[in-house]
Amino acid sequence: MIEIKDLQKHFGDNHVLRGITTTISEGEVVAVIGPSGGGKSTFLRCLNCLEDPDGGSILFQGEDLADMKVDINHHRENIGMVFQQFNLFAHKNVLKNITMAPLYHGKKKLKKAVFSAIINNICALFSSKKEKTPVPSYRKEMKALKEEIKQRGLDLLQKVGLSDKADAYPSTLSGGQKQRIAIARALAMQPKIMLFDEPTSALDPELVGEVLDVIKSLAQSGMTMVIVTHEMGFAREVASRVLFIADGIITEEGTPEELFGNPKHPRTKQFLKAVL
Amino acid sequence: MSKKWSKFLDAFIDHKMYEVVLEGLRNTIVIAVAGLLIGILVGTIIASIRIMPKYKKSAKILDKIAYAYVSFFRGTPIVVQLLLGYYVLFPLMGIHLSPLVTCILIFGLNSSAYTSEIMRAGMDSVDKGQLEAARALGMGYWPSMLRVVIPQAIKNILPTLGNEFISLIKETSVVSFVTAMDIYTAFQKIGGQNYEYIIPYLVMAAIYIILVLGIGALIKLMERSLKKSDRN
Ligand SMILES: Nc1ncnc2c1ncn2[C@@H]1O[C@H](COP(=O)(O)OP(=O)(O)O)[C@@H](O)[C@H]1O
Ligand SMILES: [Mg+2]
Repeated sequence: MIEIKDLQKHFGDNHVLRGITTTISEGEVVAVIGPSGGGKSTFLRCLNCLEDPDGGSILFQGEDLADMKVDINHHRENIGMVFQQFNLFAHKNVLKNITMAPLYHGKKKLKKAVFSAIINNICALFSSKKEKTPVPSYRKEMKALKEEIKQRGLDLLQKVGLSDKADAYPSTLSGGQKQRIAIARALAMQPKIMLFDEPTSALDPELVGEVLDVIKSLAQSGMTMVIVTHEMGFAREVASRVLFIADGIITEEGTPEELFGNPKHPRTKQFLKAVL
Repeated sequence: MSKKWSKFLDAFIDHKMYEVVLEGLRNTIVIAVAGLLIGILVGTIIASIRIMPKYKKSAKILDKIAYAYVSFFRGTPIVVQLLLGYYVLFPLMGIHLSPLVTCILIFGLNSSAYTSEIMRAGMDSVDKGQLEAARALGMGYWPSMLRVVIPQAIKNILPTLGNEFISLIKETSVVSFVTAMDIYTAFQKIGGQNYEYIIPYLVMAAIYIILVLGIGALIKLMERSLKKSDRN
């Protein structure tokens, strides 16, 4: 699904990622743990180029995302991201938060289809070919698209248990509700992979469970995910593989049983002793 | 004094000078409103250029151009810009514009320099995560700015934009330099009818004050209704 080789990232003189190599396969749930400042967020943010990697490669859908020439927006459509601070669009209600990006992309693709059909027909006029490309009706297709995306949004709201909040504004929601909406918003793009950066770290303890439950059911549905988390119990339960990142490298990795039950590297042992 | 009043009323009503005043009032408002709209549009583009990430060379060059543009319009008096536009630049380019259109354009460009700085502060006040969230959903820089950052920025700077509008209203009083008709020129004419300037200029000042206070009240109303939608 996504193949990362020797990923490097500097912030000024600070060498934050020092060669990360790993492959995330389809359907895998990878938990990333490690000490604060070790580069977990930077690693995750490099995967969709919110931070531009300055070395190595990230192979996704047959292209190297680390290459500055790729159309990153196209790839981001297939990479969902959930932030620690939710980042819901403050000026839009819940449903519009969820439908904005799918509508934008759908509209763009529809316009492109109409445009290229028209161009095709114009070219056909001047060539010997007489076949005409049917031009989609923009208004009709747009209406259907809007309806479909709205329905998708409502379905997702139901999935995260917030059907009654469609018209609410983010400022009126609890942290747990905001994060569940943020997950629904990312899912509305129907991504191939989901990235979570400490999705429960900004939540009051009593709200952590509801968000973890949503992520768990997503894992069970077979979604490929990378989750940076401090919830060790959760990582143990849902992850198929755990990466321990410290000082910008994957110091140790393995199944949850291996990593939590029998850590080998002294750095991992020290970290786990401190947090468990 | 009463004689002066009757002279003024004589010019104002019997000589139909109120028509001139109405035209002047209309022009003042048209220049200020259209100037503000152009200013917001161009200013928003400039502000977006100036806060764009700077790792591409084209972004750096655009930023330099935007900086020079803002420096010019903030660094020279509006009268100079009007004169340059009306008597130098547009004629040199072979474009014939009426005084009113010239004023609208120049006031718009002038205002865009100020609005761009206001807008930049407004964009800075929008949390960085908002743009990131939109970008992470695969939307490009400009669509993300347009749909996510700019609407929130405008909401934050609405009071400041109101002040900009009020300054525009007041600054339009120099458009007679390029022979455009505004409130000032109207009352100048009334005074010129019988060389009695005291009352016309007092009335003119009153009209400006009423305009400015009225706009101020409108802005307050708008702010209050926006705050309501926040609570929603
Ligand atoms: N935008 C940034 N600019 C400069 N330094 C940064 C930036 N983001 C992260 N860093 C630095 O990179 C290092 C790794 O940070 P981060 O990836 O956030 O770690 P983690 O998520 O594991 O806590 C830290 O030293 C942090 O200060
Ligand atoms: Mg982090």
